[in-house]
Amino acid sequence: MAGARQNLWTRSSGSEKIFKACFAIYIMKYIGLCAGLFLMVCLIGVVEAAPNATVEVEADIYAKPTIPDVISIEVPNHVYLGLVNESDCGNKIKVYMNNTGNVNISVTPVLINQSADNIFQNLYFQTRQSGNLSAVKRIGSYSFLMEKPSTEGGKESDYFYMWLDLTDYMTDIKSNMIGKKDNLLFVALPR
Amino acid sequence: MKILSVILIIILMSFSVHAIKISVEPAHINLSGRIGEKLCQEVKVSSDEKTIFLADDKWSLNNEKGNFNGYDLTSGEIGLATEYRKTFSSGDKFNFCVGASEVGKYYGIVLFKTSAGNAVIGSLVKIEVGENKERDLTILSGMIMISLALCLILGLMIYYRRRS
Repeated sequence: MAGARQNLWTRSSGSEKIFKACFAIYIMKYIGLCAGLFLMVCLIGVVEAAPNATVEVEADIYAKPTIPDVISIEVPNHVYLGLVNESDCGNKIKVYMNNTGNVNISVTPVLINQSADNIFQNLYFQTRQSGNLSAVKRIGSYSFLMEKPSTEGGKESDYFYMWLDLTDYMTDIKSNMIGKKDNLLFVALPR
Repeated sequence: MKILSVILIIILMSFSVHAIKISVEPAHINLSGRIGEKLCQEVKVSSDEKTIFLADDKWSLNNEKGNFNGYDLTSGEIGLATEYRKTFSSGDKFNFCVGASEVGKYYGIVLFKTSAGNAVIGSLVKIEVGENKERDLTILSGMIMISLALCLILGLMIYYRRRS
């Protein structure tokens, strides 16, 4: 019985050795395969990265839209200067204008009828009633500066004063001139 | 009577509230080229009202930077030839073209007046005209050719004199 057992054990031990050997070979093959794969991956990585050692980056970039400079103004079609007596000075009228473009502008009032005896040659202008911009200027020497709107597509509103001063008008006014009109142009230019 | 005067003044004041809006694009026209070259820029004029625009141009030899009274010359007076339509409707686009006969810097304005209303709007124009290199090369090559021909004639004359 004991011999049979011993024999069985010996037999069992032999098969175990074979099993162990097979297992060891299997493990080694597995490790070898893994190592091979690892090496391949590393090599591919090295081959891929080696030429420039750079990484390709990608992004969608939009160019800033180019906005053309535009000069645009809103000016009143008609300005009523009120009642003015001969050898007297009329009331100061506030004239509003809007800069609706995207550039700073200068606005110059110009009379179409430039003859010296034109009563509207006695038009006077003033940007503000006090302070640095309070200089009084006659038509022909006055320009009104306007800033561009602070926001794109916005509107910059500003005003100046205009009046008819007949104190130095020498021509004798023989009869009332009710509704006396002349064409005054407001010339707007970028500056 | 007083009431009538007040109503009249209110009616007249209401006219002053109405405004016309006009625009020109671009506000600055900067062109550069050579003598005799036709320089062009597309310009667009528009208004919020149905109106006809009348165009005109004025020039100066100095940079007046938008000082309207400083532009007191015509294009012909400073050797410029302009070419563009003189009347437009609102929203029209057109080509403003100019050519110079002399080298230099030219400063001008292109003005657009509405047929109705009292607004005039303008673009500032700056033109730089340089030497015409092609013409200079033509002149130079012509001079070389003439010199070579003269040398050849002289050489032939000397040769025939010696022979005779």
